[in-house]
Amino acid sequence: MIELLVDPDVSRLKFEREVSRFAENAREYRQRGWILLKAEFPDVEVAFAAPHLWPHALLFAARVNFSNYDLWAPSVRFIDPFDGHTLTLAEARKKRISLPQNQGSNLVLGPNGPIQMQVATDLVQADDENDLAFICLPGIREYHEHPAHSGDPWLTHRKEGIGSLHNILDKLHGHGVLSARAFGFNLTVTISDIQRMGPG
Amino acid sequence: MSEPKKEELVIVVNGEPVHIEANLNEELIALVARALAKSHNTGQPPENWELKNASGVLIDQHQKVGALGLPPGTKLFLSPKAGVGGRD
Repeated sequence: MIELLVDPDVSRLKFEREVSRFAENAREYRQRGWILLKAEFPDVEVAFAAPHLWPHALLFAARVNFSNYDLWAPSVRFIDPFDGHTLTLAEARKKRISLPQNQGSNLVLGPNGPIQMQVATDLVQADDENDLAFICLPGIREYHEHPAHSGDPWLTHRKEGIGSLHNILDKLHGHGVLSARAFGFNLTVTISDIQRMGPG
Repeated sequence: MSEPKKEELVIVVNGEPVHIEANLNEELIALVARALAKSHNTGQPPENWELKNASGVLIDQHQKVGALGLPPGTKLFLSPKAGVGGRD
């Protein structure tokens, strides 16, 4: 049970403003592959599909929680899009959910000329793989509440616009959807029935 | 001397649509600054915002509005740039 520090009516008003703005841009968001699953205070649930991949794929879903907003930054958790349960880091990795820190190519020119693969930090993190996965980005509650970021409190960012629903979904899209370039398939051919042809 | 061509665009600032009359000869970065001022988003300077098209693809702001060939009423999306995330 979350302790209420902000009048729920205030958080609800701001929540409804964020949801209303989503609705105004629903057509463009749909083109990006953002599928609104639920918008019921204090939660918004969105699934992310990849329209640029063929066949189209549902890559992941997230729940954005606006409790005590915006004294607190929104909380973001990965959820199973079909039953809604929140995912641990182990489950997220099993489902291949990854948000590379670098949006775009991870190929860089090395100091001596050859092109090198740069290993990007995955923004999907947890202290233990059995803990709930969180996204390590400013503007997200779990980032600011983590001891490693005690020097970067949410309240110093509150007026910068990074805690809006649009910005959070935009970052999930940029790091987690646009970074998915292609499917990798392994193809195994099995021949089950060979008919022998008799002599001519 | 003919008047510079203008068209109305919609700059969606953090989800909030802002209607802007754009001069086709002005750079997008100037348009960004005007959209931020009009929407009262002054918490970060314009260079800390990134501009994207409807598909979410990043647009270089150092080009003229006319170079994009956008139909009137086109929506462009402004979001704050991501901060440094991740942990060692």
